Amino acid sequence: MNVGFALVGLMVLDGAFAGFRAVMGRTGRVRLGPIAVRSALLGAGFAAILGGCFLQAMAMAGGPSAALVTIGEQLVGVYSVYAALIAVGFALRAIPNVDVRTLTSVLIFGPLTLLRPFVIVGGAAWAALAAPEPAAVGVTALGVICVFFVEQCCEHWLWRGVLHAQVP
Amino acid sequence: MNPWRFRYAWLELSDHLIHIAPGSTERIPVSRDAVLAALEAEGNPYGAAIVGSVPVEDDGCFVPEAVDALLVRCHRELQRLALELQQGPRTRDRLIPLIARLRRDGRRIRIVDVGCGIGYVLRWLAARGGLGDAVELVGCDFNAALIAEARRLAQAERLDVTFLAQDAFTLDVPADIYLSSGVLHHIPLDALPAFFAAQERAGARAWLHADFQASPLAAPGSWVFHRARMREPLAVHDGILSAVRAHPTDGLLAAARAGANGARVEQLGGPVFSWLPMARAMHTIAMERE
Ligand SMILES: C[S@@+](CC[C@H](N)C(=O)[O-])C[C@H]1O[C@@H](n2cnc3c(N)ncnc32)[C@H](O)[C@@H]1O
Repeated sequence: MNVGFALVGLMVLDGAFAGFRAVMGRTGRVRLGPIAVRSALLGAGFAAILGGCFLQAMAMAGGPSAALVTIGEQLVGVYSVYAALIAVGFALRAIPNVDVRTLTSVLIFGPLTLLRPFVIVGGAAWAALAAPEPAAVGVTALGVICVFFVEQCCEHWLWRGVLHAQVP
Repeated sequence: MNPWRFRYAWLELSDHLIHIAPGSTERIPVSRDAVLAALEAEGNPYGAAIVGSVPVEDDGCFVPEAVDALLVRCHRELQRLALELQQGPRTRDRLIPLIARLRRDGRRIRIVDVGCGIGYVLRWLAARGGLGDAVELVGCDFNAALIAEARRLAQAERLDVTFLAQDAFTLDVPADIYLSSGVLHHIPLDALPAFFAAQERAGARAWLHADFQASPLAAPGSWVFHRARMREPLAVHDGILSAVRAHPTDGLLAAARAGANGARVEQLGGPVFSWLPMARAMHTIAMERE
């Protein structure tokens, strides 16, 4: 179950970033702080609910199979590397130098955002190879769909449905 | 969109969609068929699909309100570029010593952003620049819809910036410093001396014009950024093209010398490191009257 919590943790983090991206480039505001934080929290909350349901369903089905745990461990490995690179980006961005900050966007955040879908799908496919049992692979695929679902909800619904009205 | 297929000679779709009578801010109706023909003549394989989705009136001209709404959405997205390339802090860091030099007589300094779009840089300076009462901030753009949005946004955040609809070539706003970001590549190289000269006539003591820097990495770099960050296909297209259309530095410096009538001209922000052949995404052509 620890692997499950780690994966849901990563999903919540991804949801927070999806929420943040959902308001970027939409408000026209200079002071983005409050609305961006709200959006990130909503994205994270939505991911947490979905991830929690996933874990609950798993527990009710008698816990994850050995194959699923193996796949989960591989997934945590792949996605942690991605998360670590993002963390390095934020650490560098804390340096108060305009060139260093620009470079974090140009070399880290931009390319990694573009690569994100490939990392998610490619990472899951690679992890599934470690224990290619149909039921475990199916659950992995469902998890991947949930991650994209959170992002699409943030992108298409969070702004238009919730936040737009809060930014006159 | 393949960044290597974009050409310096293509026009940005925003420039195809908006025609303004020279020397004014009056919109001229634009026929979709004429734009499609121009895109075909350019050999641009991407523009037609994007332009084709913009609504037209019965006479085949684009619906001005639809074009305005599209451009406002694109400019809001464009703001991300300014944010991530640190255009606000960069401009502030360049302005602070300049203001100190120009303000020896204690007068208030007026700064005009030419082609300000929805005015991000000025609004950033007003909100976070810390320039205080020493400066007055004025933004100009010949697109009245963008100016209206800039005013709305400034008002919403209670920022002390004035926005005026004006053509850069017939500028009628005296100021000490003229700046711009992302505008130079919209103006043909041979028209740039007149662009700078209009500011000289209006009383410029200094100029800070930032734009994309021509480099082999500009097109693929811009592709990565715009694919990752922009939603509107027009913003992606024009974003990639704006990096490809960046004028060569030598040409910019020559145009600045020709237009700024004896002012000292220099390029700020060349390569990131002198030992690495990697140019900064944006550089600034700076001029100052001694
Ligand atoms: C790429 S946008 C840059 C906007 C803004 N400076 C920014 O950094 O987001 C170029 C702007 O230049 C304006 N522009 C182009 N030619 C102009 C002219 N002759 N007079 C005034 N504005 C002009 C356009 O309307 C557009 O808003």
